[in-house]
Amino acid sequence: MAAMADNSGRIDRVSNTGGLVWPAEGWSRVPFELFCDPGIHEREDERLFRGPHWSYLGLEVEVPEPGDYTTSYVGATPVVLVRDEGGGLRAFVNRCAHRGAEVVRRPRGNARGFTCIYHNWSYDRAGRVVGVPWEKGRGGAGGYDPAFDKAQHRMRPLRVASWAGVVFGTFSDDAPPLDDYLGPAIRERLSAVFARPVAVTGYQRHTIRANWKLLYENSRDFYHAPQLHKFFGAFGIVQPDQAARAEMWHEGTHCLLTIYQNPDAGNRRTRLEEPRVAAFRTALPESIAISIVGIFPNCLFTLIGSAFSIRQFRPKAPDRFEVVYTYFTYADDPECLREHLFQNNQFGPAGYVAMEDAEVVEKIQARIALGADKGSGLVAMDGTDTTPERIDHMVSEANLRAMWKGYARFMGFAPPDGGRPGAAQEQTQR
Amino acid sequence: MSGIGPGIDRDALFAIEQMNKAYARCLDDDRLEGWPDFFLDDGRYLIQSRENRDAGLYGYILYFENRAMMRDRVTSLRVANYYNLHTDRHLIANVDILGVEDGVYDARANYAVIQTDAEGRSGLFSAGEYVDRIVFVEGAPKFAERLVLLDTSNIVGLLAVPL
Repeated sequence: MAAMADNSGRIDRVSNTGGLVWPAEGWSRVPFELFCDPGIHEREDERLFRGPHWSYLGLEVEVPEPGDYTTSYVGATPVVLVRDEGGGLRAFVNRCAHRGAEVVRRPRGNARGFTCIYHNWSYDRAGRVVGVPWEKGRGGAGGYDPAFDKAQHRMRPLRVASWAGVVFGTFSDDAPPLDDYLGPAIRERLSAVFARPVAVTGYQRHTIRANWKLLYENSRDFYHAPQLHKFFGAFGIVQPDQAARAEMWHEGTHCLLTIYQNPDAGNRRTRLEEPRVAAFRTALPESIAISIVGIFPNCLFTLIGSAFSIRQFRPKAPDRFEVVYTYFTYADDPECLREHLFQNNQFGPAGYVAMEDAEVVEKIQARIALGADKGSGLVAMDGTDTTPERIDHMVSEANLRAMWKGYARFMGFAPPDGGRPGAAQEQTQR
Repeated sequence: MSGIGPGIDRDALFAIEQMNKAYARCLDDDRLEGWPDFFLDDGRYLIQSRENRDAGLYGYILYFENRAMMRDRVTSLRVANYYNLHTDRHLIANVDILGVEDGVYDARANYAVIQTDAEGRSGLFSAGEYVDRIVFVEGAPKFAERLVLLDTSNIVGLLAVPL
């Protein structure tokens, strides 16, 4: 755990200067304190997770019927997503309006309403108070003041919106419409993925002892994939084509990665005894082999072959976060499900091409925490500029630099060129 | 079948207990190449959280439906994957036989795996239950299926070596 003591100076500096002054070398440097500083961690919860951004809450197919609910987190805040009587989607903070206790105690389920165990305040499916024991007193004694109006109390709601059955929530009235927030490329990809009915096949919880941004960034890092993940190479598995594309949106913080099928795919044999584990026959349109969709700040879609998953990021501390995977596949295709079960061996905390990511981000965290506010990472492959909206090859870290630039802007950090930190307050697309 | 009584198949229970000890020692000694030999050729090795199982979902962390897939796993750990340097210590208890049908034993055991890192720090890595289907081949027990049912559904770090 990062030490909470003796950090007052840092927090003061955060509040006085907009948080951090980016190194003069520019966006090709990533200061280590971004991953260690408790003040920055708190600022992220305020500005990103409770700020004008949309966070992934779940899939509509997880809550098909009135009363169906699923719980999760938006940053540090526990939230509940519910289908209401009219078929609408509701979300609220899972915290009793009376004393703050957790109200919804099961991860998923169906309920007519919700009751806090502490004093039995009860709520409807929108999180509004509908019952307060002893509200009018008992035996003529006590009770709330006649002016007390329980309708004025509720668990705090979030704005909710969905695209292609993917549900997002925000605490902020300033978040742009979800369609604009996602942008055209991600909208199109999600629409293509969810053009057929899907079924959730399971969940996986994963705790990683590192800063959440290290993994969010890792998901768009072309450079590491063949260097760190040796599984494909070791077994002679046909690797996807080098033709690849990264499309950015939301100030560079979203990233749509697309890697295309290798036209050579049919001509080589793998040394895997069970090749179905790594088949790339894809359920995706066009000739896409791999697509990874990062939707800032808390969501990653991994779409490879028939192994589809969504990762929801839940930061817990500067040096610890949880990822909850939702696995899904096409409900109308038994063959897809079977491929999905085989191919999922590649992903998740035990995955052939995933376990190294957890290992390496934990090992980064363990080293940089030793000198939290000294030094920076180097992100200078393919120049030092932040990219335009799109790059078309894999030999680049420009999409990482773009992410850090956008992140710094949203966080209100002073940019390296001496610009005005407060400029980040303005919410604009691109 | 289970417990102390005239119906207990003491020979089968003893053989299954011995297999569990050997299984634990094989993994704890990092003799991973021997691990698939505890299974039939078409034996299944599955890791699933209790959370998924209770919800009627698949959600397998690992899904191997033959011994070839287990050999691939071992090869990959040896030549391809980078994972945390550690030693495991499997503690297996409450080995029991709940029933037998057509020569297939429905067996259970509790397990805990204590993991120790490269700097000597130990901690509980995983706790759960083995849900086994076991058959005897030439007098020796083999897994037709070992389902590792995780109580510890929240994996910390990563899971490389089989449980």
